[in-house]
Amino acid sequence: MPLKRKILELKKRKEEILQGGGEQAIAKQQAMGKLTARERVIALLDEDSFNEYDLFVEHEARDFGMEAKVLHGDGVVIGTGTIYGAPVAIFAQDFTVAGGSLGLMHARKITKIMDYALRMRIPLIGINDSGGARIQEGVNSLAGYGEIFFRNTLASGVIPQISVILGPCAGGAVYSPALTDFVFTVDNISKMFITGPEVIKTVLGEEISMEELGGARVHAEITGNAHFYAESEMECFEQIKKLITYIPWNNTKKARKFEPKDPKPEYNIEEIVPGDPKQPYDVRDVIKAIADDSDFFEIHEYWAANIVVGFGRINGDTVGFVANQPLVLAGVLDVDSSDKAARFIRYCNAFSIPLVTLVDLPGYLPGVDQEHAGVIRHGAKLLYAFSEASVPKTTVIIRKAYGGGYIAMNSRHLRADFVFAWPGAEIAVMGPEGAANIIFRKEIMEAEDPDKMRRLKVKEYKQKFANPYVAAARGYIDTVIEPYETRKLLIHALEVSVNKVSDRPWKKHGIPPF
Amino acid sequence: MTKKVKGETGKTNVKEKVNIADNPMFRHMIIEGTKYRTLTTRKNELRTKWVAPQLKELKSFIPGTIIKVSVKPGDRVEPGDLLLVFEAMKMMNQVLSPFPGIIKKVFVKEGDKVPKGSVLIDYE
Repeated sequence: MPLKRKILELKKRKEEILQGGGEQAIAKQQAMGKLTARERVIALLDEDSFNEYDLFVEHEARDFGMEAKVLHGDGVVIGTGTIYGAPVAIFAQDFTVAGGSLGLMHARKITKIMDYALRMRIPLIGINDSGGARIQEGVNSLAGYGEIFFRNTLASGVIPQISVILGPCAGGAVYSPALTDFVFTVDNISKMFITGPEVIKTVLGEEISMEELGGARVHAEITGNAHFYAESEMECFEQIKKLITYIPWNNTKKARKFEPKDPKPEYNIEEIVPGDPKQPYDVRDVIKAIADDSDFFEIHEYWAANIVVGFGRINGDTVGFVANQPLVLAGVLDVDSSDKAARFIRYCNAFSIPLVTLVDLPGYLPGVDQEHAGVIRHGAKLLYAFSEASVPKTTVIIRKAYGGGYIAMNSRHLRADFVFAWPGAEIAVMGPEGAANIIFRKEIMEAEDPDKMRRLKVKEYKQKFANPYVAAARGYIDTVIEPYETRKLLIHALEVSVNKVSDRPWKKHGIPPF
Repeated sequence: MTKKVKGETGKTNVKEKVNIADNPMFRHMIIEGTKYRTLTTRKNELRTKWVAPQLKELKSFIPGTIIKVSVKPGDRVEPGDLLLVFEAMKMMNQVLSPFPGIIKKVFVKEGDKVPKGSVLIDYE
């Protein structure tokens, strides 16, 4: 056979496989408002950069009539490509082929590209759209999931791992995304749960829709399983591309350096924060007044909104911002916000991204639900993460820093490299009202007019202790600065921290409270 | 100052000028004696308020079917005595008395399907 004919045969074979599950299945996918697996990969990656592998893989199942079934690519697309020139490895489950169900060869394709990503030390992106285990393949399917989970864990903290939920992702399958660094979801398309609505109805008699149980909004706002929420697949891909610009390829590299840019003039740092510590403001405006080009890429925007975390750049270099948000729940620390910030801090530390912490918090959220939900255990994660982090750590105390919250928010005592305070900072063991009530309890109780005496004593306490100078006198903060100096000092802090050495005792690993 | 405004979904959908202090959604929150003006979250609103458990009420913590009732009002029971056989999650659960006492009232009979959290037996 001449080579020309062989080439023709190759083309024919490829053409057939690239049809995925066929016209009908593709029409069904489109009717759900979803792109097909290959359309997604092409939309996400740089133009013409995608190279697909294992196109010709076939399953080996021999039971339940499977031997007669042809499943193109075994329901998953794998390959490599680039995003803004950065190399990535990618897999995308193809729902049009047997519902994207995971059989032995399907799993082998995924683990192959995972091994490749880890060996080449490049980011891994997984697009999940699957009905779950391929029941006909029995325990082989379970083995496949296990192999994926193991590699997720192995690669954790070595290469960035990104999961994109663009369809159902139920049962055991949810644990691969849960083990990865960032989970992206799309409204009305993403669905994640361990047991679905049907099982819940039969067993517990509780009726709930898939969307209400485990839709994108639920995971973005209530559970925190999703880091990002988008209204369309295209918006989601834009978010992923943007994320890739902030993070390094692996844990030995630094994130890409960009041209430094000043913040936009509409964010006037002197005007954002009200003087009265009881009045709210949006701390993201302070971040935008500090970051290059006022650009802030927020993570977990809708979950635990009382703390804000995300990436920005200072003088062209990526930094991770952690900031209390006085706008929501007065900026308190609680179970979810500690969990959210701790995880983000550990991400930044693993990938050599310096941390900038902005502090303005009244303390911890009071409540039986908080105590019973384990605010002690979860709150400890934040202390652990900040203490453990050896990347350059700078703290700016904007306003309140009371009690345990002061310690937890990357204080000097947890080894912040630099601690700056604005002149309105109040660093104290607790808020003036609470402190005065305890210290002057006797005077207040015995006074003719207790309310007047309380007000007097609160004022007295405020004057003496609600300022940055008591902490500055002990060296707990390095200097008191004017708000407009913040960016300049942060640039300086990052410059002098480039060769930071952090001596820690040898350990196999720590035992964080998770 | 521009601020992102959240729609009902919690998804940012409009960008407009807002004076933060004018937001009608602000509540007061008291932390250590100080009152703060702030917004709340859906999760915080949805939290269940804690109620002290009624120690004399025996409740179902899962929905299921009553297969057998072994006690009647007036019976004296010791810890470990069988009160009910309760089928849930495909298991025949033997519900045993956790403490000694006298049965005041039995709210269920054999064959009843009970939802989660309903009172099954009352002690004196």
